Amino acid sequence: MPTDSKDPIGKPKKTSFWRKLSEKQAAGSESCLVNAIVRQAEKEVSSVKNSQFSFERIPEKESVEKEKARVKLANARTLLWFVIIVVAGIWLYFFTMLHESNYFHAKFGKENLITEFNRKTELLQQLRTDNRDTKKFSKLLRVENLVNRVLALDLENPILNYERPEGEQVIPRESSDDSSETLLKTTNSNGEVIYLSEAEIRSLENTRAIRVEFISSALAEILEEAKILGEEIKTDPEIEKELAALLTELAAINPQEKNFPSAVLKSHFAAAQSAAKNILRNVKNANLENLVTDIKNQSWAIDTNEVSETTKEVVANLQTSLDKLSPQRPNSFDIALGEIQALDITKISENKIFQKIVRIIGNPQKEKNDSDLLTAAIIVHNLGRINTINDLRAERIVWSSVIEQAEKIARLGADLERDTGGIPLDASRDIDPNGELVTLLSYSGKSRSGEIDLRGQALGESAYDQKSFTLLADLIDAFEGSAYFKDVSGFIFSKDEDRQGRISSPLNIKLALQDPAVVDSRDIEKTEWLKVKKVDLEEDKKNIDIEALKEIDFSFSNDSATKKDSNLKFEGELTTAEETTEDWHLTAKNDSESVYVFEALRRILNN
Amino acid sequence: MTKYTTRLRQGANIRLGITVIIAALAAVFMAWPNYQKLIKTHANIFELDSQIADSELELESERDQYRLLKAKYSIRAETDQRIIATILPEKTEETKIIRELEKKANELTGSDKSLVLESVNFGKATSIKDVDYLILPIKIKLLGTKEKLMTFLRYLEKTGNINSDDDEATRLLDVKDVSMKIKDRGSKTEMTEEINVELAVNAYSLPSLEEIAASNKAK
Repeated sequence: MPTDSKDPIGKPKKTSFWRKLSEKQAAGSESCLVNAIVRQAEKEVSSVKNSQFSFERIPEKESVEKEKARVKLANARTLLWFVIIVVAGIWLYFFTMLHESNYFHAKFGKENLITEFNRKTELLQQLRTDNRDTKKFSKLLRVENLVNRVLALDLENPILNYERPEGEQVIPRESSDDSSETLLKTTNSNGEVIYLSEAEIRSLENTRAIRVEFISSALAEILEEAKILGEEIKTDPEIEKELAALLTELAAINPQEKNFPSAVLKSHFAAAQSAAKNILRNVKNANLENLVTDIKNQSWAIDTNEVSETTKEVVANLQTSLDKLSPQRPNSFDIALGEIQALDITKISENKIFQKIVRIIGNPQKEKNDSDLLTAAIIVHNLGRINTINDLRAERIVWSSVIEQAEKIARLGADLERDTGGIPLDASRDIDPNGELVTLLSYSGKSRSGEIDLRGQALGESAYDQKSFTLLADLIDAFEGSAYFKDVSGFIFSKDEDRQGRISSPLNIKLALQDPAVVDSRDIEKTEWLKVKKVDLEEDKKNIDIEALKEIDFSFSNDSATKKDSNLKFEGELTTAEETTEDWHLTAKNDSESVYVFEALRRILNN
Repeated sequence: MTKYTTRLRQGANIRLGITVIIAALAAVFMAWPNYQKLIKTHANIFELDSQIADSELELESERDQYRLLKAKYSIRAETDQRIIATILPEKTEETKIIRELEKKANELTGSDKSLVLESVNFGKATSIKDVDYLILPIKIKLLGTKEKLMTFLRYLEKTGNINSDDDEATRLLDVKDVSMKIKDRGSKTEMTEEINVELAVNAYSLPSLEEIAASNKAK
């Protein structure tokens, strides 16, 4: 056995034995191995014993040196640990700090946490803004849809206003073929008398019923949509303000009402349509602007970070072209469309980006282009043309209304609407209540000058002689007092008596058309004057002795022979017949008084 | 001596322990806030991711609805375009006007010929300064009863309604001048008397979009 070497403190080295042992083990001798282990263990024990003795036998100076070395080693270890921990701490500190800064992320091409946080915060805000904008865009589109539906309904359709007249009178039709068909006298909303057969009336009533059903259900749908939209729009004060007037008017409408469409419903609906027109003007522009904003946003949202250079170039050109779009300048759409048509988007290899671009500008390979850009281009041109149409329509003179008003005034005096204040003045201005005295024979109106020439005549019995000029003066005042006419001129007062003894006064006046919305001082003047006249009439009525009236003899006849000397007794009953009214003649005990009495009586009866 | 060295070794171990503890505390003290910040940032980013996912879902749903509305809006825009093209066409289209007028007159008149379209004269379309449309003057002569003539007049006054249905849209006709004269009352009543009417009507047309685009380019 070789002698084992010892370490500086006398500990024997065990290398040679274990090496030999392993060699023997490798040789595969198991019994040898056990014996060798036992022997070596004995040697180790004796060696340890020897070493204890040898330690004690080491000189003291050497032992101190060794101890000092050991202490130094321990201190060094402490220092080393300290340094390691401090360095680790500092490293940890810097690591977290650097992690937070862009150092590692930039180094390894990854995103810094704070940058990521900021980017995602920005993305979230952008998403929320987009969400809010999209909601607003949607709401405004729904508003436009709603007002379009409101404007599309026509409650002024004559068929809706048709009503079967009560106490209808059956008369034969005046037609070329001698049919025996009987007709009913009906009056339409304009006060015109129309003769219709029973079959025609039933057909009209059926048509009306179908139309009423259609419009009332359409109106119910509109109200439902308005209600939902109104609830949603409460969160958006800007739109709510716009819609408030429309919603208020619509809320007052009951589409299931019994007498649909009642005057109240029509009045609310007319106000709703007026509000809808105002809303539509604004909302159409707003929707176009939203669409353009959306188009631009869509183009800027295309991510070109990891795409080919060609794609980048196409997208950049597209963005530049789209940025030029301005809803205020329709030609900017033509320019942008021209530029975009020149772009070859088929070069784009990334399908996702290609789809996004197609959504904005349409697919050049498809015949039908339903892209957002084309919709916006259509709308921008539509808007300009709609404005032109609205301007032209607004400038139009509604001649049928002008003629109707002129005829109404010729019969009743100035229009009732302007004489508000709670007092109906028609009774005081019943210039020609039966439409028999004044006849308007011709109208000639010119839009450019806003003037109208009226020609006609007033034709009455001889008794009318004393009132003919007054009647014409009343008529002129009534035209002047009307909200529809002003500056009456060119009148000449003259009268003539025909062979039948009737008094004829020609009527020839020029009028200027007046905007009914503009208050004319003379209208008020006349109105006031007419109010005074009404008060006077009330006084007249009080002064009439009804009992005395009964003693007056009246006769109504078209028989010229009885006109001059008729002195029939009035028996408390007036007999009128359609065919005789043209030649009404009045006589009384005292001829000079009879005209005034008749007029007073006529007015009372009219009341 | 043994005790001395033992104390030295124990002291070194204690110093080592204290140093380790201090160094660990210092490291924790220095790194902990940043570590916490890091954890918080991670949590915030996680929360953001969740909110972004929700918002994206909501946005997608809103966008779907917006797309549907936009599709309707696009259809409406095309309908408007067709209606506008009827109301204000890009050509004067006189023949179309005469067909429309005769059709309406025929609808109103019956076997009694209560409305007769006597003549329709077209003038030359002219442009006016500062407006982008052409004016086509038309003179119309009619003979008929008052009721039918007034209905015809009301029809003309209702033409060019932008809010009408696609198939009900009519060319915008503007009655500029009206002249009505009772032909001969005789024994006839107000309902049957014949009235001569002369109307000066304007129709309008617009330059085409291509012409506008060319004009814009020229500018």
